[in-house]
Amino acid sequence: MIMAKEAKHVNKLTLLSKGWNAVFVIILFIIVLLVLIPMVLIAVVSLSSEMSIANNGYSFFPSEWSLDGYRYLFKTGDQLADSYLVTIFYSVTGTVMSLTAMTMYAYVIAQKKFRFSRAFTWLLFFTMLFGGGLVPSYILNVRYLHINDTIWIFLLPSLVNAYYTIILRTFIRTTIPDTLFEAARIDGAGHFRIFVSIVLPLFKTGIATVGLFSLVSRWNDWFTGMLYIQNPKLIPLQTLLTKLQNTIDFLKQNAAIAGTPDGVALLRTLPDENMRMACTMMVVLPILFAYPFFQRYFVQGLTVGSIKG
Amino acid sequence: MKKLWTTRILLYFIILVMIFSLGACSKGTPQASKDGATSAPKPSDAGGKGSEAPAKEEELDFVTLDWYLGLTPMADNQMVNDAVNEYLKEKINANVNIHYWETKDWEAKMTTMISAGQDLGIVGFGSQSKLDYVVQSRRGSFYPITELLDTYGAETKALFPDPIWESMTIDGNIYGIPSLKDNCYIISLIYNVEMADALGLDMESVKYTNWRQLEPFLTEVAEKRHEKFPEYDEYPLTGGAATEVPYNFAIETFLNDSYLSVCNIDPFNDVAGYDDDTVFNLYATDEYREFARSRQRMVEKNIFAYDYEGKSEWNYTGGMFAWVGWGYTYMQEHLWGDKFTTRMIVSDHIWTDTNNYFSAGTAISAKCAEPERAMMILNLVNTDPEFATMMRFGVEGKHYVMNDQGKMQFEGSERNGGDRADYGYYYWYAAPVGNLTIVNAPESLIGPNGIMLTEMQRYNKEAVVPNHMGFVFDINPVSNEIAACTNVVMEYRDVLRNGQLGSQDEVDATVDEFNEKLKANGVDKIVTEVQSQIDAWKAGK
Amino acid sequence: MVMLQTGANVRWKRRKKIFRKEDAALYLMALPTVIFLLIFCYLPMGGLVMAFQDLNITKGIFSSPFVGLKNFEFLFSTTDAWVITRNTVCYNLVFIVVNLVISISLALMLSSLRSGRYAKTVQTVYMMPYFLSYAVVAIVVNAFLDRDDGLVNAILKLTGEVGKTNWYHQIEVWPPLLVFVNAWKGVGYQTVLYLAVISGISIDYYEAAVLDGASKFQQARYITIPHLRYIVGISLILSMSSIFRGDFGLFYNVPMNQGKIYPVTDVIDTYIYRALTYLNNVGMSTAAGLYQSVVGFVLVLIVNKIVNRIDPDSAMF
Repeated sequence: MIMAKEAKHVNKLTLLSKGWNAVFVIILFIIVLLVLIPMVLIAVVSLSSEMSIANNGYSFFPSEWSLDGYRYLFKTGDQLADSYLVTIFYSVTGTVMSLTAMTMYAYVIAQKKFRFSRAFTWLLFFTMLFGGGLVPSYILNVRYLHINDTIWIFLLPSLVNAYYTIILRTFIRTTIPDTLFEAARIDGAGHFRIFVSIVLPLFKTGIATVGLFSLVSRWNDWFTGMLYIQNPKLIPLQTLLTKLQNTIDFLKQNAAIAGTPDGVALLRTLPDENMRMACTMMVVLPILFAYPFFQRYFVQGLTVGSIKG
Repeated sequence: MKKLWTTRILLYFIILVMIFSLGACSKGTPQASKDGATSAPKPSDAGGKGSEAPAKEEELDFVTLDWYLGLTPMADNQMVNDAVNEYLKEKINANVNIHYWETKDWEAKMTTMISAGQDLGIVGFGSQSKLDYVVQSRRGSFYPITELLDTYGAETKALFPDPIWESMTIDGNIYGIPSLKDNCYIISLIYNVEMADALGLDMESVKYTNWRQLEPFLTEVAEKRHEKFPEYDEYPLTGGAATEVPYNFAIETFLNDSYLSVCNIDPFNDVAGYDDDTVFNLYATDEYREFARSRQRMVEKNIFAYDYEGKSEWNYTGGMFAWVGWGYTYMQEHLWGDKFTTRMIVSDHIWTDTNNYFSAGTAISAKCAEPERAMMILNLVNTDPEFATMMRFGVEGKHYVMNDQGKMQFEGSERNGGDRADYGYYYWYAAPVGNLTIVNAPESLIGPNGIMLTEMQRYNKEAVVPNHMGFVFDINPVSNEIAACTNVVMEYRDVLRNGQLGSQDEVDATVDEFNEKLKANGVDKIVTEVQSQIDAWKAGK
Repeated sequence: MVMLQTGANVRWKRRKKIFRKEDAALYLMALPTVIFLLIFCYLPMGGLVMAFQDLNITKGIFSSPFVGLKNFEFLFSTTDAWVITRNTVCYNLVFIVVNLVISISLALMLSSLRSGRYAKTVQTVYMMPYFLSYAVVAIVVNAFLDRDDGLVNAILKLTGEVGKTNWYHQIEVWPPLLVFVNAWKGVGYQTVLYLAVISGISIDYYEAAVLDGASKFQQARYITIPHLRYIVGISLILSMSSIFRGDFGLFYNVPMNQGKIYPVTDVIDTYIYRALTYLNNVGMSTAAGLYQSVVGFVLVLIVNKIVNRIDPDSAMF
């Protein structure tokens, strides 16, 4: 609380000059346009008719508007709802589990005086470099652990991410001064107590950042679902979306088949471009809603130099 | 520093222990891992039961198998699966879990599952069920069915003559059952009847052996269409694939569709200068260069569109004139919707080759717990019309009805009564399933009196058989060159076959570059290797 | 404080004892992760042996025939070996530098704006491209670059340009375009990281600087940027581990698999995918992955040593 008040006081003295502020605002706005224009295109395509796309390509001004792209989504309403639910559930749960394990480990390897901190760091980092690949993991998950086609396949194999853990370690080392450690240790506190009462509250920003990254990577993951899930109730959102766009790639790569009766039948089931874009919109929008929740934690970073906020 | 090293050594030791324990675990794992599996008698036991029909029902335990098909999932898959299970339970006391997988699923999952040694029951192979028969057989992914065929699949075996089974033999064993369908290359020109009439074309006089020959005809039609129907200018004249084989060249290929090693077929001799026992690289020939140039010309004149895939809407508009066809022995009146009628002209060259039989079929997974039962199921689907029809068209009453003439139709059925896009279950052709000739289908698909199927069998019998039918190439000696050359092919081939280049000169320059690069990456070594393997194979016959 | 005044011996003994008891808590805290790593990461690593085998399914992974280094040969047997390696490494280096510069600049700008609300909104918008798959991004790029229907050609036509360029055949366009697309997609996301670090910088520094009369820019130069060096150092080292891995989604989808631009868009991963189209060989793809890992490993060690010399706190080890 004291820090906030002081911050405001300091901020009053350190405002950016209006001139420079304007320059920054303009630069940032141009970048906003660069980012938004393609997104607008996606939204427009999702509302164009298939014929318009075939004739004129992807255009900001389709010759014909249509809600057909969303028709598919309404048709498979149940499946879509299930996918949303399961994706939200495992993203959140997985992130929480992940953060628990990773923050504890980051704390351990952040201890410079700990005898095995280097060994543990290596144990972790080595897995970032080398991996057995898809087949051995598949054998492990399906044959020995039997977690395929269950919710655990989303939670367990991605429990610890070496990259994020090392980022967490960096946060711990840089935001928490050694003196605090020493003081607490002299007072006789055990590591776990230090961790919970001192470290966690102080590097909330780090946790929020890694938490966001972790959540997003789970949300975006289409491959796990594709490889391991049969049960329609467990299909994640991105897997559903990816399945849609694959038929057309197949046809492009196997051009000869287009002339055969089976190929013609495949053409009939081709998901339309506008449908693909509609699905993209359904994937992106929820994250935009969830994002402000995380943003609170880096607000300090955004408001170190601001009046309001 | 010392501590760091000791910890590192400790780490590596732990890893080594892991590896060996994994190895020990692996060896100890029994073959069968699926549930529902009872004892798995070895093939040799089957011989003891005698060579007649399968054992009596009372002796069979109830088992469940998986069946993976490369077909797009539809709404009523489960319903039909249940119906199939009722049928199978009655006949052979077994059930199947049918998995309908679309192609990308197949690519991503199937190779991993096979490599991981999963029990996959019955597996499709070929171009739709995207598994390469030769590669997978050589890797031991499939169960050898040579003896099983004789014991439990005698009727299926009788569907194909012996030379075909010889072609299916890899390293001494048969690993798959080809699907009996159009097992030859039947190329056709499908055209829009109304437009042909409006342009005053005499389609009766059109005769051709491959699509390269149609360039003058199509150019003429394009001009006429431009004059009479300028509003159709935004649509290409023709839709369809630009692939070299089978639409443009009738040759024998030895490396799937990479065309790095091919042979002429007697009597077609599509490529001058090579007898039908000499292997050559298609891309280095003059005919290929001319083919690339002609594609560029035709795309420039909007006879073909270079980005045709994905613009399937164009097909239904009535503004296009023609399409390539492959495998049609009967042309439905309304292939592309109700705006216009379609008819076709089949090319004069009909041929087959070893690869054709590998392009669609079924195999049994190497780790299958119940190979005998799997073979029984396959025998049924290839010989029993009821089962074969059920797999294509679902359940009577729900997905189709029998009208007063006793013929099958979709109108009036519960789930397939409306729009084609809303059908509950419909897999016409469905090459991955098996024998097509015994399927009962509506007249709109197979023509009056099932003419499509009778024509199909006629073509199969009359197709020209190439010299090296049955020869399968072993890629191991030149796998590096193949890898390198495949990359080169991927770089140049699409641009040339899709006619995307700006001018004829550019085409020439690109073809030259293409061939130079192929040479630099060892294509000649591949050709020599294929040639020597063929010569050895011929000598051994 | 009392402890420090006693003799060295006593202090050493005491320290040893304290460590024992304290370490127990550390081991416990590390336990879940260690178990996870052993089961899910080290156990499957045994599968790397496939890189040296000719895998036969019936025989299984450990009983398949051993073929030594044969599976690695295809990586070097192509005339493009140098091109794909150069592309992969150069693109990765450029991506790292460009993304770093842009995201730090953005973070600095955002954190110094007068309006916090504007900054927050803008930053939210920047996040959006990250959630698009490259397949969708490829479509967006196509909407601009398509020869017949693309926006770029449409605009050029308005300015009187004759003839339609097929942008997917123009080699010069692609390196900057790919750098731009990669930045477009990833920078907003990376900015979050740097903003988080900036927000962790103690306010005391800024206070002292203001009292000394430092301007906003001087504050950034002498306080903010130096504080970022830890995260930058670590990020650099971590990115070295995947220096030989090309982003498949970016290099395969966005150029729409057009052969004419392979010389500037083909990377190691796309080469592997294409080369194995007909061969379908798990051993070869495992070998390729192992090759990329080993190179990354060596580079990490080298860069770590370099960073250690410059600023030991920023290094990994």
